[in-house]
Amino acid sequence: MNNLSRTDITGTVLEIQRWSVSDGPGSRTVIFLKGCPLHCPWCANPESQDRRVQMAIFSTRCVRCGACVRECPENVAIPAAEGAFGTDNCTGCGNCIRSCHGGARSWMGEEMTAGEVVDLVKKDMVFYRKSSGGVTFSGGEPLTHPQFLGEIINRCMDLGIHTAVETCGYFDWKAAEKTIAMLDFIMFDLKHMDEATHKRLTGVSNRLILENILKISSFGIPMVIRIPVIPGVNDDEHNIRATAVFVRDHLPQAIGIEALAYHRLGVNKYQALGIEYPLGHIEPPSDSRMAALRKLITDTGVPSITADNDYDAQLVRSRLKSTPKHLTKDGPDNAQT
Amino acid sequence: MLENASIANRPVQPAQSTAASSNQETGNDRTRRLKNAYLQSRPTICMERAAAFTRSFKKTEGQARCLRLAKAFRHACETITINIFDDELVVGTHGSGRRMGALVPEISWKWLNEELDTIETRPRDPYYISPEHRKLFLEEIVPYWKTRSLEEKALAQFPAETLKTGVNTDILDTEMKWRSHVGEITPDFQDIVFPKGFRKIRDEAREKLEELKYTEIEDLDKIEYYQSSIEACEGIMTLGRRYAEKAEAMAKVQTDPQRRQELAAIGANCRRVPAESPRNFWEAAQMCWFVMMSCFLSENCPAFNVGRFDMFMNPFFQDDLETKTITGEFAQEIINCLWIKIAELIWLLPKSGSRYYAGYSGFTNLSVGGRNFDGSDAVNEISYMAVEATSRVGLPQPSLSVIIHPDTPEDFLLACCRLARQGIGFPAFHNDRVGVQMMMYAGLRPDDAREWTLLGCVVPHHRKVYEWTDAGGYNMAAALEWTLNRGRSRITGEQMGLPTKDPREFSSFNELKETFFTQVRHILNHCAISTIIEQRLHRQMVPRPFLSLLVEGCMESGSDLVNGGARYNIGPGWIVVGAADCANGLAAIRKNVFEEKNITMDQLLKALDDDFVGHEEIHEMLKNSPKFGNDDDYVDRLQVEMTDFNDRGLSEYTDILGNPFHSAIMGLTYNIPTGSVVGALPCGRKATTPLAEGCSPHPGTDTSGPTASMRSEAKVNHELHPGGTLLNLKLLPSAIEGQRGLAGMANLIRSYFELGGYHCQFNVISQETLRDAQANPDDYRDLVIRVAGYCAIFTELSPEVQNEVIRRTSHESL
Ligand code: SF4
Ligand code: SF4
Repeated sequence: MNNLSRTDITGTVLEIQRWSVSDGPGSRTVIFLKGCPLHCPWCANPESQDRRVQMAIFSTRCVRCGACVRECPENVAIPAAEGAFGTDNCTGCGNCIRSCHGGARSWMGEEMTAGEVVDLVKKDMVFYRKSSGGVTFSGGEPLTHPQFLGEIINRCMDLGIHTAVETCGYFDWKAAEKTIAMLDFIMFDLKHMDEATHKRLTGVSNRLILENILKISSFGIPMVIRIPVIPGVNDDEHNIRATAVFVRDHLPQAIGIEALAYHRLGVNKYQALGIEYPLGHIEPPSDSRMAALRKLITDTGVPSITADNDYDAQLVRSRLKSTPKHLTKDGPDNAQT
Repeated sequence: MLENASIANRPVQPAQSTAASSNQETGNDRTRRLKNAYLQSRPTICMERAAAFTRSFKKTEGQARCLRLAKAFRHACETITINIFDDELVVGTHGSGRRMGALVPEISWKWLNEELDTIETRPRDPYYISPEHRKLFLEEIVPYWKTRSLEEKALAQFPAETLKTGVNTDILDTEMKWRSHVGEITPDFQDIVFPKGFRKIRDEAREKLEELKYTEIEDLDKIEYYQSSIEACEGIMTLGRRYAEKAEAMAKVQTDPQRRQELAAIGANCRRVPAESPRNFWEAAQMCWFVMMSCFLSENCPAFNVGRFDMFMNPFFQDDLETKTITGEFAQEIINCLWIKIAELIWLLPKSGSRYYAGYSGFTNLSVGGRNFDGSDAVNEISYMAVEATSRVGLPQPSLSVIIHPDTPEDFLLACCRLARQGIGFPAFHNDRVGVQMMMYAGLRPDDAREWTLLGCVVPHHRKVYEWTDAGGYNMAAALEWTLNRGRSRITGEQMGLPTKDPREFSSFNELKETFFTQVRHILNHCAISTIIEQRLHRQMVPRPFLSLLVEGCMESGSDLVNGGARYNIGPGWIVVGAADCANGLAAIRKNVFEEKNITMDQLLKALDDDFVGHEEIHEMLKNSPKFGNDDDYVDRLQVEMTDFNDRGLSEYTDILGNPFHSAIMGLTYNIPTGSVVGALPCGRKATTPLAEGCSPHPGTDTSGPTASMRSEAKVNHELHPGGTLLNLKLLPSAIEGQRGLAGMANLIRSYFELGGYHCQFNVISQETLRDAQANPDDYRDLVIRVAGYCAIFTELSPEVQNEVIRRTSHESL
């Protein structure tokens, strides 16, 4: 079969996370791909920014056995607990990683074929079926790997697996167009509506992003717009309202806006990569602040998507039909009905 | 059978719409007050039952054993303290107060004699004992039962080898059935207790007796059996009468009009039940409780199960609704009260046993959901109310189990998930399909099997069955240790297992594995020996006249449960502990010693001898070898081999009723004491630390998320283990936030069950646990933080970020 030749396409996969309920409808396997054209200082996955495979260092796991030192042909490696690299001359041969049994040194990212990715995705088939879930491509910016992605999605379509992407919107439309057309669901980040601010924050203008989102919208694929809410950076009411108005007026396909509270969980990944965390001073937004922003969104006439909504509106089932009445009075579900 | 499909959708109609709203408040207040009183009561040793049995036994010397026990039970019913506490709607205690551990001296008393001075201060499950009860014990109970207990006979009869391997070793726990009574039955409320009442049951026994002749040798046993049945019925009926009198007397002097009315109603209930059939929901609940507490009075031991509560209570509820004599909220209140009573049932254990079954639990299981005899869905309004009761009461008993099948209503499953998300560990989710297969493997007809219920923690069971589901537990990891140490303990050096070959001389992995199975067989042999001796003693010494009334077949055949009187008899189950440690250990050896040859056997053994100290590199290599629970066939297939072997090895033996032994892979807190006697293992586990729990992965080693754990676990052939299998899953609250998280949980369960899994229970991680994980990262490598677009292993985060996660982890946010 011609399937054989297809497996040759490879891509750099950072990580594959099984069972997520917050990256698209139902239970999902999330494929994190490496490489992102943006450089947002709040990024929770900084190891995904570089397209190349990198080495991560977990110094607490190092038992100082010295195996890496012995195995390094370039005399670069030193124990992870002591800084991992003695000089800058690492060639990336991987000897030290193979010799480190404690897992103090490991590759971030792995070159995988589309076939290998699909084999892994297939494992949780029964979980997708039960939940109307599927696979989500995240990153990094997955649409900067259109061929690799297209190949995987193609195979998923054959298997009846629902596919989704989480995208920052910054990619070459021509290259990604065919791949996008095959997708079932899109989670699209709008970080800031103002071009200058966007450029200052992420390093790129938002013009291409806004162009791309309109083109995607014309394909009729259901999507959700996401705003990562970073206090003092993009959480001013003006920006949130501008985003909501844009969604309302230009994106009929969007089921709503999901405001995601900034978190600092990525901090230690910066440490593992040996880079300084750029947003050290920013606190995550409070629950009440998030609630106020969500209200702003709904007041503009756009549904606000939260953990209480499944992403696919049709899947948000009305429940509690046969629950005894006295139990439904102040049940936790009441809030959303 | 019940027509649940139609009733399920009918809303509950309050009897008087005016009373409904104010009732809800008082209802919750009552539950809160009763719960507080419960929490303030101290677990206490009570000698009332033991004294009654002793005094009765002194008067019945020479009579048939079953009759003596029945008379003793009756005497206990006639003499124990009658307690009705404030606020209670369901009344009765099986001792002098609320949380009473009753000694059963006919089984075992010696341990208490030895532990009398330390039991108040022991680390696990301490008990208070009053000076009077202490005196009673020392002066009346000990002198009579000396040389007369089952324990003394069992220890005298065990062969020397079995004593050496199976008593106080934590390799075989044979104690279970010579230190404790059996329990492990489910009263047949549907077909016996409710439709007949104990007066009719007694009359039936009388009729049977009429047909028998003292001149026929084969009738003699039956005559004694039926006489014992009559005594036992009289016993429980007396109890009802005494409670009626007490309630009536209390009503007379009660000044609060509402409570006076309640007491009068309680008095009327107890006039009716348990002698006659209940006529309404409240009476049925009271009857249910009388029977449960009488089970505990007859034998203080674990795993008396309520059974399919929703199935047998719903008809009463529906009738009461029909006649507008109950409101949903009042029925809920009665259920809450019953729940608190069930939590009072505690099982008194020696220090050794309390390590295996920590937490004062009576293992009183209560099941809801599932299917009916005819295959239709059995969920009804009471199913929801049972879930709600556990949510509102929040005590560790009853052990709430739900049975899920493909047609279980989605909203019921979600209600169960919502409860699980509260983080109290309940309910336990069970797969109907696999439970039914297990019961059929054990010999039940498919239609009977459909009405299966849960016993103890996770054992599939049926109310028409007599069995020893927990004949004991054994330590499989010891067999691996022996294989790698020529049968000697790595901790003490003592020769415990078979003196097999020097492990350095194994020519292949298969040879090593076969040697391991030989060591396991050696243990299983002692399992079987101890059980058969114990079964014979139970038959001779402790027939069960009261409990035999509650199980179909005994009345019909005129024989006690111990003589195979029940409609179905299932062979004894032995629990294997540490299967995953063996699978992981064997995988690590296969990979590092035989296949990749990273280390030699000699290096491995030295590292094990030194508990990895000075062998850090080897230790890391072993820790990073494939581990069960990550959907990796390399090691998962070994786990399947371990567990399949447990079935095959055990089923080679048959018990005294001719039924094959069977396998159980559950575990309770078994993994802690069994771990304490095992040295370092090739999976990287350090000496004396806990083993894997039940069929679950070793704590902290399943790092690939719940779907991978479930896929691994589902590879085990669950239907081969009619003693039950167990999977505990840890989830962080962030993973199951909101409606999405709830649906995610429900889908996990449905998917796991489609894959063929049997049981799962969720452990929603608390802040406390996370702090512990910060301190002991190696035990918690499986804690994965899941938020949109991001995931990470908790223990790999920096302390600062960990603290942030801890702050976010409050269950209220759910
Ligand atoms: S091989 Fe790994 S554990 Fe050993 S010194 Fe190097 S980094 Fe540390
Ligand atoms: S990757 Fe190769 S060159 Fe670089 S430090 Fe490791 S062993 Fe040395």
